[in-house]
Amino acid sequence: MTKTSITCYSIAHHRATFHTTFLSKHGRFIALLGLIVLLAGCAGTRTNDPEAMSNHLSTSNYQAIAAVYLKDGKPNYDEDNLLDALEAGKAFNDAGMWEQSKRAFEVASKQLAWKEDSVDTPSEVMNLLGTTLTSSAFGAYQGKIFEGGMVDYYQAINEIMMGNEQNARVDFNRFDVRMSNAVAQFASFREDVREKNSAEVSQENAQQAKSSLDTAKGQFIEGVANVPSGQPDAKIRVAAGEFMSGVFRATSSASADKNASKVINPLREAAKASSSNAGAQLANRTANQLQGSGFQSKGKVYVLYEDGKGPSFTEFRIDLPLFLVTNKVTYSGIALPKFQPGQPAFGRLQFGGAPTVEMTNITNISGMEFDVAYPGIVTKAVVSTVIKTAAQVAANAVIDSETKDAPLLGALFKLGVGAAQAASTQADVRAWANLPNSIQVAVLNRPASGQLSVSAPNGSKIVDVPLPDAENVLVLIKASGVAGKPAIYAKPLPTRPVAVLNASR
Amino acid sequence: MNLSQLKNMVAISTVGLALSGCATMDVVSSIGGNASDPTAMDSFGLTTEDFNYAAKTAVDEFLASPVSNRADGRRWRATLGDVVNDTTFKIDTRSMTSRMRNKLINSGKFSFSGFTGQDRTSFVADSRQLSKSSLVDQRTVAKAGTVQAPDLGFSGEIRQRTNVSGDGGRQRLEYEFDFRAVDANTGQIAFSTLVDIKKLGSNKNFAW
Repeated sequence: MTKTSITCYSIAHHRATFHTTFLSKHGRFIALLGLIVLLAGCAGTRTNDPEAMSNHLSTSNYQAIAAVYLKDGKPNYDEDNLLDALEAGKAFNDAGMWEQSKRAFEVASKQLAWKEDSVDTPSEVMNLLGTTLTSSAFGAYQGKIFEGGMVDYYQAINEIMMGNEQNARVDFNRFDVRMSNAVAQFASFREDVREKNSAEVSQENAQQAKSSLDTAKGQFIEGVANVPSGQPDAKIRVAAGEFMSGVFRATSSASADKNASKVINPLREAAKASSSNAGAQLANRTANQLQGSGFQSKGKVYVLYEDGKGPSFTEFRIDLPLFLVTNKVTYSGIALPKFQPGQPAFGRLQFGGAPTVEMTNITNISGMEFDVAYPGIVTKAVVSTVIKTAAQVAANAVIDSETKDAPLLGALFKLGVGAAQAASTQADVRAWANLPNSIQVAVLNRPASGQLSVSAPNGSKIVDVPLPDAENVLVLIKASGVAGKPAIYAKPLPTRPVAVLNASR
Repeated sequence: MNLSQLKNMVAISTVGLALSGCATMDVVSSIGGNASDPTAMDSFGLTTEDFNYAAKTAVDEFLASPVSNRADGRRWRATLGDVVNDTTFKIDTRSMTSRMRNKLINSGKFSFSGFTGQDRTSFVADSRQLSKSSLVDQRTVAKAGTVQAPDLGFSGEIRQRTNVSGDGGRQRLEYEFDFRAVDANTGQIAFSTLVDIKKLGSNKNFAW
């Protein structure tokens, strides 16, 4: 198993490397250095190397990805790390290991700072004063608004695939509550970032921070150069989940589900939040059809297609001394994340003449949230650099006074302090690595042959999928790249295997 | 900034971090706690006390209804159908339906089918299979055509609404336990009841 982890520094580690006498003499300096390093904190373990995962995603080799999160056949990932739990949950879902996926997403859900039922911006997300000294890359991953929706959506799908209609209903209810709050959460988050920014630049060293922000404004923009623009707030909702929420109710075994508020409303919301006009039209058309059939679905095949690889982040640095330019520091720079859009795989699939249509674009949703957070990320990075550079000046002054008789040793220590600052100047480039680029939907009449013919956009056949004999069928198709075969799972709807009122024999 | 200032800032940050998790508010339930049970506590989720309350209220109402007494004097042959959990909590609805079934059986006015519904068991059909065994005294084997069909079906829903206060600080969860009994012969709903339980608490934490 490949394990990558961000090293957790500790004072104890440093103490072990220094002689006691030296410590005694240079205690103030060591304490300062240790303090800076200690503040870096710990981000936890990432079980799957993102690069290795990306290679497997290119061939849609979901079994290989899931295998990394297993040891002796049992789940094995860092349960204290939200990002690791999210990626494990998705890896198991992609590999058809629904129970393991459910468990991992439960673990993730408990750690996700954004709650389903509250519009408040979590304090963890805004980062408290203490974390200003370091990059958020070193703190625990807090998650995104849209990721909460994705967790509830995948949990509902997990329950459907396991045949548990009651739990799927609960997860869709949670999803619905989360979606009803998502737009307000997003607007509130934007406002909170704005307020936090004002507060940050009015603190100590404000003038240097303001100057730096003004001077380098043109360079900061690179971070959001690839963010899709012009997305209204309503698009923060996960339309594919809202679509499935309505479809689930229309195809469930419970008569209590067959009403407009449960079936039609989620489909209308999906239409509003859809990332494409074709998706909006399909959601409205499906709503109209179900409205005319007593909110019940018969003889339909619902396809959920996950296409491509989701967005990611790279780091870019502005290493020029932006401010506090002085010969008393050996390093002063800033590191920022740059948004990288996701990549499509087939782009869409064809079933006879009917194509999938895009309902949710993860690149767009993720980009929206990053765009709102980015001013705060920039300000924090600048303020953090101002503080750390000031600390470096103070540390170097201590070194000068303590190493008067050994200037070479002093120079080496200064380089070390500079290196510590450089090491703690990192952009937070973490992202949920195995999300798709888009989630697409198709609603088809059940083929008389009982086989669903799946083709690429150019018409070349990919596979024939045998459909279970059922009132309706849900087909999940996942293709992160075009090099391998897509993963395909089919499940009868309603998902409950035996109706409760049926006789036992 | 000197070392002393840096240390002060770190100390302030640490206190701030420690204080950030202190704001909580107890959950208050409309049915109150259970003073006789020291382990009882109120939570946003559905507890044993909630299931007991809903089951008892529904059954008491049903037993007080004239429908519970059949005109022919015999017991209703009931079957326990589905109770749809339409909340945001993963709960086992049988925790409540079992309580209802027990109370109804103990009233002497109802028997429940073990052949259909939630309580169905393969035992009834398996018993008939014993007629094929030479080891079994055939006089004791259950005969075909003797299973009694239910004439009353229980079903229901548990629904939930969430309301958040204007200042966003509190949330109130409203549960509705909606039960009904359908007469198999007439197809009419012979009895129905709606039991409300409301819970108020902080909006700062997960409700579920």
